[in-house]
Amino acid sequence: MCLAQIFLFKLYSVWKTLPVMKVPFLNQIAEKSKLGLKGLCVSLGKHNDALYAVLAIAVFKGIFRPTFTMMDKNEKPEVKRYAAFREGLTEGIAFVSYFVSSKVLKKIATPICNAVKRPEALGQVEHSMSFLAVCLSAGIVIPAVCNLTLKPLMDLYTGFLKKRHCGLEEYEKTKNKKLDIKENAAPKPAVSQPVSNIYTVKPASGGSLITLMQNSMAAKNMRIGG
Amino acid sequence: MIDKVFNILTNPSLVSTSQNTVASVTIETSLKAVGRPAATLLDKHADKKTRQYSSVKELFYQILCLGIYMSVIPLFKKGGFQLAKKIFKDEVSMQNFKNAAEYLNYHKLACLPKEQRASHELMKLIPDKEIISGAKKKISMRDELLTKEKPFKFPLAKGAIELSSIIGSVIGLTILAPELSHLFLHPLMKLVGMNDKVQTPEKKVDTKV
Repeated sequence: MCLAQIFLFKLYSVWKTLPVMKVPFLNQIAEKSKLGLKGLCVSLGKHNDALYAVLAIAVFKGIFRPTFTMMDKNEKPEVKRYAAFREGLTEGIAFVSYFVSSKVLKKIATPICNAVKRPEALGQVEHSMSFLAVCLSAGIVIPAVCNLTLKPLMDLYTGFLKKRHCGLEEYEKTKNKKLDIKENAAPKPAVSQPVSNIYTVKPASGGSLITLMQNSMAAKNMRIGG
Repeated sequence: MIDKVFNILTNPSLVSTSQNTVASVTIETSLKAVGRPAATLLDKHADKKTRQYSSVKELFYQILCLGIYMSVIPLFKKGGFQLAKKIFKDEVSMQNFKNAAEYLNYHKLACLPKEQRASHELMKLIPDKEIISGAKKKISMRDELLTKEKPFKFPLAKGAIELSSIIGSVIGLTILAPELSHLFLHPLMKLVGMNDKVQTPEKKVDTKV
């Protein structure tokens, strides 16, 4: 304990004598960073836009949420991978929707200002349009686009995984084959087991692989939302 | 018609809200809380019980996210402003204001038309002290607001608050809210009678073909 204290004291005294901030190179970096930060702050202070925050949130959600999902130790790797891909895809759709809707609505600002002969108010109209685009995207566009595109894209993804998992030839063979569990099953199985391979078995309850995985995720407390 | 649209779009409240990170993100999250559960209910790819369960869970999740966000963001605003004051020690515009709340009151009034400022209730909260405005002249804060058509808005101070709000929004909504909301989500779901086991019974599939 005493040795550790002496060591820490020595380390602190050596660190204090180091002329870190006297090095011109480090000073230059600090000055440049300060100038850059000042420029960023002034720019945000003059022309902040609703779009910046929502884009930043979408980007970081797209990184963190799949990462957290993959770190969950209670789930199977297949389910984790599926959920992480789905979350990443949702945030990707959100990012594109925000960006595109804002660009489209901002284009309308110029004709509106020209029509009322007030070109000096273009900045204000653009900011308002951008905010409306964010609201429109969050409330209508993103949920609608996710509903329409998420399932086909996830089907493509599971198809891709299946191909990689089983091999292309086997996948082509089994692609159109309908697995009738009731007819082909052994008359009285000794032990009934749960699904062992999620990519190759169709659920007995009917529905798609996605329905099975959604139920599985809902049941095992996988993350929702976005 | 186009005049009315233009008047709505140039309304000072709308313009000010659109440039305010916290207001925009709060409204966006509220809209998500309505839009996403509605879209989940309309989704035809899942069965009715799963849709109901998911939409209620989504609604609670977004409301919890909003609550956590609203409670976390003032800390980032205050902290960000104080940090900026330390970083930009030599910037007079940062030293004019004691804290973020004082600056935000000033900024709100500065965004209003001149004739509305004197009678506004926020005017009582503006201290009668001297500040250094954009022209680098000393002037009373009240005089700056009451005499000038376009008072100086101190973009550096505003930008520091907006930047810290963006950072706070990202940390609050991507790291804190999802993790914290899961602590409350399941008790809430049980409270409204939506249990995982009831909604999604485990079905055994015979794999022997």
